[in-house]
Amino acid sequence: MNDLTLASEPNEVLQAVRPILQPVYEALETAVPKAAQIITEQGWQNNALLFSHLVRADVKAKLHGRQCPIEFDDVAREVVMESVCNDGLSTSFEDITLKIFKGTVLPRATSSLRETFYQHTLPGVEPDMETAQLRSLVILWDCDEDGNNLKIFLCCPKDRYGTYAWREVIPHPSEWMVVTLPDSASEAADDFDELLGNDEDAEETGA
Amino acid sequence: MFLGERIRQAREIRGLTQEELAEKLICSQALVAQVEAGFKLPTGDFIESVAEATEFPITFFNEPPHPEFGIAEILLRAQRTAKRREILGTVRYAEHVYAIYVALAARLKPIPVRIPEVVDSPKEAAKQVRKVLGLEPNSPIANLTHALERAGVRFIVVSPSHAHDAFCVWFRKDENETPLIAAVGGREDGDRYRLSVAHELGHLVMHRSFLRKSNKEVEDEAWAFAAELLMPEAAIRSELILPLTITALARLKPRWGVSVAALIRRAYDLNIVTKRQYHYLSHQMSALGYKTREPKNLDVPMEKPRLLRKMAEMVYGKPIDFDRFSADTKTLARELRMILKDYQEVGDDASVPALEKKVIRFQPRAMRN
Repeated sequence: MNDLTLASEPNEVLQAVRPILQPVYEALETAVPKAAQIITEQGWQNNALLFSHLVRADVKAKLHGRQCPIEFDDVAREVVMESVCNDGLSTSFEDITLKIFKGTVLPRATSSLRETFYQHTLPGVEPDMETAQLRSLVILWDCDEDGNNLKIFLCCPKDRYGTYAWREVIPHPSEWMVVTLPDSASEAADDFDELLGNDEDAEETGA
Repeated sequence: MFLGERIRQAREIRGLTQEELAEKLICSQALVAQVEAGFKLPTGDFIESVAEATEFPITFFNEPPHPEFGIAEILLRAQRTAKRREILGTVRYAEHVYAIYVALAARLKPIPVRIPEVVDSPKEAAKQVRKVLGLEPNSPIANLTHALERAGVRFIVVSPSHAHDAFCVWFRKDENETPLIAAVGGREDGDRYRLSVAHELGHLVMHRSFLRKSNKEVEDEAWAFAAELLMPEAAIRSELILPLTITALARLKPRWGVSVAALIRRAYDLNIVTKRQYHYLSHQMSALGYKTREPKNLDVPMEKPRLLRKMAEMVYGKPIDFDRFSADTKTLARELRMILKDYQEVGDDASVPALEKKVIRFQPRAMRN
């Protein structure tokens, strides 16, 4: 059970859900240029529906069963993609449901299921912004028709109208990579004594 | 009479024009020009003033001029935006530091120069250099600077400027030739430093003799050499696995000690990615702001040369007796201290390069897919 609420700072949420955001980002990073390439190679007429369909299909295939990185909290997890119609993308992390939509803004809820999702699983009730537990997040992705300028946001929905509590750019996974310095390699090898002659030689030459 | 030449050297090491020195001395530019050309003998007071203005001890001006590098080739390879004066200042400073190397080397066993001359393709040249340096043919190079210092290359750390990231010289005196690389130090992007050093090494190895090649051909060869040296084709092919993403490349950066941008370029040059994919990845790098600055957490620490400090320690003890060092090299002790700051002390952890100390914690690719 996560201890995040709707009042949690966006950065705190981003940090907490990094293990799922990283594979999602990577899957989108791979799928977006691939979709553009397929459309070009097949000579298909590009349109937003086709493009996002190809991306969704590829992302789903890439993510399902994939291991989340363990470097952030040392917990082994596997991504489980839910079965959603029209290749919709939905998964969960701890007890937070994450849906992946194309676009830069949240679409208005047009079904009761979506409405409940936007309201953090509180059907028919708008969540209390101070105390309600955070149970829903949306990953928004967008790019131009060639797949360039990929932007990925994490968005915390607020109500059925598609307004959100906050929306943050998800940092690129490379910015989260953990690089550690083992103690054993802190001393550089020094073989110049041998190459240049030892200290005694130096003294003999007038040092 | 060397005095005039020595005054010119002191002035140029400090990056001053004749006008600027004259202003400091409260005299005319014509007088400085005449003294430097040897047409007029300077008075004791004049030399004292020059010494003060250029921050050299008086004894510096009693010595014959130190050797100078051929500047024409260095000018040719400098960036087009660089000003001649800026380049000259950097080169003169490098000569000054090289003179300190020479003074120290006279009192120590010489390090045999093991930098080969190779007229083969850049790929072959890089292979031969790895062999000569005793490096594994297909592994990342842990510390290129130290490997080259052990092979007799003298490193000179120069200040950042618009002129060069680095330049190199084969310095010839009598029968001896010494390879020298001057590179900008004190920056954050150690990957850029390594690539610059590898590029200059390419010039030292492949362009030692006069060649009937255009400047562009020569530069392209040096870049191809640098890429093969730092990212040998046989090894990097097996790590640049499609589909390539910025994330996948970022994982390789600390391991190979090269930038993500260099890895993208390498993947394109080896036909691992198509032109379209290359442009896509480059576009993504721009969109993420990584063309200007790659993520800080992946910085490859700067390599610091250590030979100069080590030589000084062997001749003048540890801690270094700077008074004697200063007297022998005709350079103020405080300047010697400043110079040596750029050279690594053993146990100076700050400059142990990425490949010796950075380990990136990620699951193997097979586990992730």
